[in-house]
Amino acid sequence: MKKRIKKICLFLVPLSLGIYVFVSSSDSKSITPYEVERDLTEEQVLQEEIFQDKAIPDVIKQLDDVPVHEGVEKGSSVDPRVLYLVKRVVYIEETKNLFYKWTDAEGQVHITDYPPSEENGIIPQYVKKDRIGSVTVYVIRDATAKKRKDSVQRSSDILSSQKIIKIARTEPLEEEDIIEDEEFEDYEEGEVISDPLEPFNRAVFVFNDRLYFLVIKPLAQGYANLVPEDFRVVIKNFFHNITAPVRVINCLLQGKVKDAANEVLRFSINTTVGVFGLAPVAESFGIKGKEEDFGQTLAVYGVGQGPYLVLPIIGPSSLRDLVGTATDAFLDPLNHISRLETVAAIQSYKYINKTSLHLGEYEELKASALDPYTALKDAYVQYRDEEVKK
Amino acid sequence: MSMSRVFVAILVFLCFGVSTVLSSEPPTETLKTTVDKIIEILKDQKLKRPEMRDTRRRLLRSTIEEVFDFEEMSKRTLGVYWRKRTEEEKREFVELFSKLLERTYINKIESYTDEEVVFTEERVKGKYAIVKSVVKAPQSNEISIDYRMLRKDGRWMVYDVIIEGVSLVKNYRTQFREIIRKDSYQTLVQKIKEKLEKKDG
Repeated sequence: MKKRIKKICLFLVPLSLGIYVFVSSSDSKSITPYEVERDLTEEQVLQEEIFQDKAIPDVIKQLDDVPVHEGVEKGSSVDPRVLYLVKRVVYIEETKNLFYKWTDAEGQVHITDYPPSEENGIIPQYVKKDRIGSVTVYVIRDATAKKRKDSVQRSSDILSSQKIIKIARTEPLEEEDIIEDEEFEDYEEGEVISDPLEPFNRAVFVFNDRLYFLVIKPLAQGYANLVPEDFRVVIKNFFHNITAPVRVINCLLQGKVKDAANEVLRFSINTTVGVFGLAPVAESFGIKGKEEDFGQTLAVYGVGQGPYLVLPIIGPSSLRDLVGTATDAFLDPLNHISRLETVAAIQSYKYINKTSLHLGEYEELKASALDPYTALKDAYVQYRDEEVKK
Repeated sequence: MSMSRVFVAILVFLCFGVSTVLSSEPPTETLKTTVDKIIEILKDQKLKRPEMRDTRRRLLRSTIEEVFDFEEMSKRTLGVYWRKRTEEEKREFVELFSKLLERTYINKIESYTDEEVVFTEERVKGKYAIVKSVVKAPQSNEISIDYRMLRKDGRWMVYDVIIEGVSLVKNYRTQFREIIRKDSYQTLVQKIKEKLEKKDG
């Protein structure tokens, strides 16, 4: 048996190393510490220049001769839902600069390199692209009423303008970043997640809360008092390493071949050099894993969260993630090694060990929240959305 | 569920300090300076003595206040309900909300050990910026913390902190909206006040 494992490992290491080197040679992206000095000084200079009136090229001034893409005043018959405090955004192709020309509530005209904002009396909701003569013009609208149904299409406009903004300065913000910056007037509609079972969920939440303070926390605390932290981390590493099949399969299902190879490599190194995964050696070589699970795979396939669920003991979940958890449990080798009782015992130990490393965090959440149920729900949804994006 | 890591990470939420920055200093530079300052305060042996506890808290609080734009945070947290407030109510809300944030998170960062902060990315668009950082704790995994910043009067100020994908502003926003919808704005204010009093005891 041991020999066989050894053999497999000996085979896996060079194989995955090969795949890794092959795949990563094309695009190796590693996080490097942020470098400040030169780049930003340059950028700063540019920024300063744009702020000076003298830096505004004549092209902008000439725009006054161009037919103005006129906005619609509030109360106009064209679209009463939208308040257009018209503003023009001009991209100067020669200088690669982006300017916003706009009028404030008092009728004062401004030319700036930043979009009009609330302080200026307008919240830009989306940008509409247009062409006046040879110049590309962007019109910012202020939707004070309700978000329009066609906002999805509009955001693609933002995206296309973003590409141009990129030239103006450093890296652009992503489409969703911009929307989030500006959405804060708009999130009235739409829940973070549907919660039709809220009464039931709240009941389970209270149950979990009691269970944590009466049973799980004392157990985990007692265990933590007996077992040093270093050892508990080692146990955690072991359990994490053994669930590698879950991550590899989900990476593959999501078409992330490189990440799958990476996971295999990480598993191989940590199992051999790291002695059955007790030490995460691969990480110190800069091999980073991808925490993929089946819930995320479903999300990649376009499956939405579905209704929010609070599960006994497990905690926050959703219909999609419940299916994910069940599928991953099936892929977890631990669940196949022995009889049900043994599996239950091992999983309980894993759970207590994990909890012992996170004592105080749930308490922290409760202390900072006005409504812990909602706080946990929102944090769960945000966290999962982020995991899916990664 | 490792979402709970989020709350370990919150210590860096406060990792900002006083900075007398030049008007157009890059956002990362502002953060870097202030994170260093906070770490300095936390590591100061003299300040670690029990009788210095209040002094240390005061120092931490004042550093946080210099970089955190609590008004912007309040505005974004209340969202549509912000506009409906009178000037008096706005002032009151900013004061209460900033106290709530400070109270919770100062408690957290006081347990600071030896995490290391690395800034990984900066993106700027006009007066908005996102600065990404990674906190490396010796035992646990890396924790990603993004700061959303806004330039006001030539100064970069933080208006949201996103820890492991969870935005603080959004999180409070969801809670506050629930309360306002189910009850009223007055109930929300009452609840924050109660929360603050409870912690005083």
